[in-house]
Amino acid sequence: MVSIALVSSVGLMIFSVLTSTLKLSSQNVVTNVSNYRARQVLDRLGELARYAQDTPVLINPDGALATGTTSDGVLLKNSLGGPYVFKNSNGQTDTEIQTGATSFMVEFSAAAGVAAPKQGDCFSLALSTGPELEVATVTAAGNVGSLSRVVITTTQGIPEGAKPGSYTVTGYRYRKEAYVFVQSGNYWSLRRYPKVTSAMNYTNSASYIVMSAGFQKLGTQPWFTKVTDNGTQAIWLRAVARSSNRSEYAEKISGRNTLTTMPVQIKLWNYNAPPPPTS
Amino acid sequence: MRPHLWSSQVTILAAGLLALAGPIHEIAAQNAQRPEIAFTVHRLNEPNVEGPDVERTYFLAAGKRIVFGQPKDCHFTFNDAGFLILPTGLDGEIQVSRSTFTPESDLAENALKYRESAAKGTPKGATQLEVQQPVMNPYPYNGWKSLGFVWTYALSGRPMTRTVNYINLEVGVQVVVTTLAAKNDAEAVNKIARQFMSGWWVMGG
Amino acid sequence: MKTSNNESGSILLAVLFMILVAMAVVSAAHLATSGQSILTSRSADIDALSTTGEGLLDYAFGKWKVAMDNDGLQNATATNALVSGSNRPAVPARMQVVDLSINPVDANGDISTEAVKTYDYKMSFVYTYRASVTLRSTGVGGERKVTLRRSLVYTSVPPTRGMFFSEGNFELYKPATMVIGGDVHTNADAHISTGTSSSNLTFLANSKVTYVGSYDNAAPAGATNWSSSGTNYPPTYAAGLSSQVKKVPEISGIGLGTASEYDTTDSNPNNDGNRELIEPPVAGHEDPTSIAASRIYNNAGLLINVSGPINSSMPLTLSNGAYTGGNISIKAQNGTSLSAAQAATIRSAVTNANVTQVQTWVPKLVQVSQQVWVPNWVQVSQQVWVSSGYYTGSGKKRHWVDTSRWETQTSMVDQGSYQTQTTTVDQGQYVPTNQYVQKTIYDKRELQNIPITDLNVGTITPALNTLNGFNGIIYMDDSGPSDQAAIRVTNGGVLPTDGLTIATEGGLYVKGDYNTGTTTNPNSVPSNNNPSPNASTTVSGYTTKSAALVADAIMVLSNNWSDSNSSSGVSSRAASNTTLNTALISGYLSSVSGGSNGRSGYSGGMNNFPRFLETWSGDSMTFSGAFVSLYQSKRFTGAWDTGDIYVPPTRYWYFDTLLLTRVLPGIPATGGFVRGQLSRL
Repeated sequence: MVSIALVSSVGLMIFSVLTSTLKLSSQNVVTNVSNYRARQVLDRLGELARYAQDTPVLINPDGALATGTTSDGVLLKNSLGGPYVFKNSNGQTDTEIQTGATSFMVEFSAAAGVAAPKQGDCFSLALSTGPELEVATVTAAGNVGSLSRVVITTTQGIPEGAKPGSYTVTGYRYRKEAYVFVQSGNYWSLRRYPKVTSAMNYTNSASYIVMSAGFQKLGTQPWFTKVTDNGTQAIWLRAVARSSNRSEYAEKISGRNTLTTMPVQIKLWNYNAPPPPTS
Repeated sequence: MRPHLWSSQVTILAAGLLALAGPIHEIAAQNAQRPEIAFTVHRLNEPNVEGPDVERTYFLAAGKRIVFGQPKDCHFTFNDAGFLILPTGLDGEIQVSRSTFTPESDLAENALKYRESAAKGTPKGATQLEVQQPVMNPYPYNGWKSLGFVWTYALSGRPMTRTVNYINLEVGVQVVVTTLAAKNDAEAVNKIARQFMSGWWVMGG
Repeated sequence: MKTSNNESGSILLAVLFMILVAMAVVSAAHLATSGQSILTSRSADIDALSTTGEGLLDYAFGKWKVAMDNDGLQNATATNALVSGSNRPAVPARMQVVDLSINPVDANGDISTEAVKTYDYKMSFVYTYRASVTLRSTGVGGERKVTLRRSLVYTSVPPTRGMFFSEGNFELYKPATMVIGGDVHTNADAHISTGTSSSNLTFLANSKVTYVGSYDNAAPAGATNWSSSGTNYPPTYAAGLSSQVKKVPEISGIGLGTASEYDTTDSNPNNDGNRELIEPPVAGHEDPTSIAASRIYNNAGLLINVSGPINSSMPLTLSNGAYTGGNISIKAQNGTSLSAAQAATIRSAVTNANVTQVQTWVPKLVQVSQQVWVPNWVQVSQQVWVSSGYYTGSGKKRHWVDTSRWETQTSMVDQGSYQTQTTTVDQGQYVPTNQYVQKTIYDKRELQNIPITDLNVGTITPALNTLNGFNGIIYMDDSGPSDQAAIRVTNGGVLPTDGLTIATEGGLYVKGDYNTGTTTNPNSVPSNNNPSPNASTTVSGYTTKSAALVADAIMVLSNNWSDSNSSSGVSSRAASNTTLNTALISGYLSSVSGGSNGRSGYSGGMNNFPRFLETWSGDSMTFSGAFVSLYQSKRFTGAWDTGDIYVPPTRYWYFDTLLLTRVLPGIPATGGFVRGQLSRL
């Protein structure tokens, strides 16, 4: 009897310790994962900017370009690789590409790690006006040697003519992604628009994913601020990445508040145009 | 404004002033016939048609404004009778003054007369005096005709070079540029004189 | 009290069960925690690998750039050797480099064994390489791997691909009203301002301004004594400053491998900088291969040397490949074949002498006698009676003792005499004589009489059109005694069919219309007859030819220029409408705080890159071409000013878009190394 009582007591003690451990551990895991996911979103933003096609651009929540040096949103050109060689849509090298054309033959090499474009992608062309064309449709057009070919149509016409017979019309592919902070109660949620196209509506919930809902501003700083550093443009993102407060990360065992704060400052600096050394 | 004198240049300056003293008497006698030159310096701030606005310094000759640039690294003084330039770090001086002649006295035809007049400024006590061949057009700027003479001599044991140059300006007057320098510095002093004179131009001309 | 065996067994079972449950719970907690730490650890490791990878790609860029600069185009074997074996840098201990390579790629990004030349829209040569790195590390949760790639691009750009290329600062300080419609690049700083309002200076939307150093609206640095007056307004950029003005890497040298050879600290005069383009090589010193390949002197099809007043009545004799005679030498090289008759025709197009009255001193040494006292100091001894004495005794015995005596005294006595001395006095005279001398023009900016040699393009063009193998490049120089000689290009309305580059190390004056089709009447060019922003710059029916003028400094003389007025006041040098269709490649002067002769020290800016010497007010200078300011002027160094030098023209200046694709004879490309696209796979 005494033995059972003893065992029971010990067992209860162990059980109690283990339960507490479990509770604490789960709280920590929940908090850590939630924080981590919130932070991860911002880190991805920084990574995208780093390897993007061009420097980030400030935008308003409706997608319009911000006029000042601060904004709630930023547009990035997520680089998807290249080079792509543009020709007249008939595929003939010696045929000029006329001003205003919206149909092109695009050649690329899979062996070089270049993939086929998709609808909604954009191309940046190495021509005097630096045209940027959004892909409307893509149609496979077979191979020529080891090169793959597609015919694309674009939503805009090319603003200048080009001569594939005289020089290489090179394009690099990217996809526009936007990140916009939207206020929701005491906190802000971060919306990610994975594919920004000319037809996309920023207010349509189908266009975006809420990455995390638990953000706050760092002090009273705007979300994104454009600065010039060593003659090169950079954009500061200053935020407090709180635990996301998303329901799947909620800890409900003891009703304890799982929110913690983690200040974040990221400089979105396009590495394809690195700043000059200071010395 | 008095020129600042360095002890090593006292003798030279005295000689220069002596040379300047000579022609002044003649100038007084001939003023009535010659167009007026007054070396007093005037300044004018001129808005430029393009580029930086500039301050022009000029003097008056024959009713025209003759613009010049003040020489760099020199002590520059003036009075109505002429300019005196003392280059820094060089043992020499440059004087610009009215000539006793006019452009009507042809430089080539009257070379010996010009030389005789110029020789009057050679200081007493000069030894080993040598005169070189006359130099035609030592100041070939702005289409000027000019005639120059060069003497070398020793004064108190120091080798010296003296040049006297008569220049017919485009406004119809004649000036004389006299340089006096220790032999070793003569080339540099004359270069400064030529550079100074080359920058003269007639405003509104 | 004893427990029963059953009780003991149950207790044991219960304990075991509780232990198992506890272990399961602990494991679950551990798993949850370690899963979190795996995520964090992995994320940090990927970051570290990316950062290290980017560093390795930058290292690869540096090695590749140096190799290209020093040794020219690299093939795959050479580029991969730059980053393999002992050339591969160390990485942190926990990382391994799986792959680090540099390979030439073609237009589609496929790897090639040799460098592949492609053309971009500017018809620049483009050579693309790809640097690739794969890094691996092992950490919590297993292996991480990152692969990064970066394009390395060498672009060989003729400097005439834009409207204005400047090796030194690009300066526009309060110019007269100006509109710029072409690209501007400076390898140094850009100082751009206007004085009245921003609308006074406009860059059209197609005009990009690129700089390597800094950009501001201030006066050039160091210009303290003239830069503080008035307000500096920024110019107007039609498409906005941020889209038109950019900082870029340097585009350097006068050909691949030249910039890395430049060294002004050594004793070799053949490697001092971009100006080697217009200089002949100095004998006795090494001429670096890359620089030698770019010298216009070496590349010219015709070398014309003038060594004094040209006497065309003297016969031309062929010696060492050159037709020489009467102070001129004409040499064909680089495949040009030249006959004696063609050489004579070319000589007839080159004139530099005229008969001038020269005052010559004719000495007349005259012995002049004069009486001159010649001193003769002599030491003379003479007897002198010295009276002396003394009294002695007293009273009555007092008496005088006389000690007077004769003494010998020595003194110096001048026993000289007047002697007749004969000195030689030159009582000569000036005698005017007519002499054949090199003609000069007075340059009011240089403040010098400039010895001039005229090249009549109208006379030489028919000969050039029939010259077999001629490559369109003439190098002309004056090796006479003056170090400030110049050539003057005249009658240049019609150029040879295949184009013409004229280069000289000295100054170059271009008189009248150039490459416009003008033959006799400048007003047949619409931009002269009725100057306006869109007036045609050629006579109807004339197509411009590839044209370049290259010199230490280039002075534009209008159709109305007259040598006889060159030394007169500026109001006597009235210009007339003039049009040029050519590239001008020339030197620049840096702005300084104070210039000589009362000049401000301002360089004159881009708007005075072609130098003016006339009153152009009311007249226009129309230009279609490109300006290339490639080196400092060494011979024509007169500081800029308006004053008595010039009054500015109305400048209708355009970039000739034909230069986007035209290859100008003898004009090399400047090269730029650029880090291209960076991507993570």
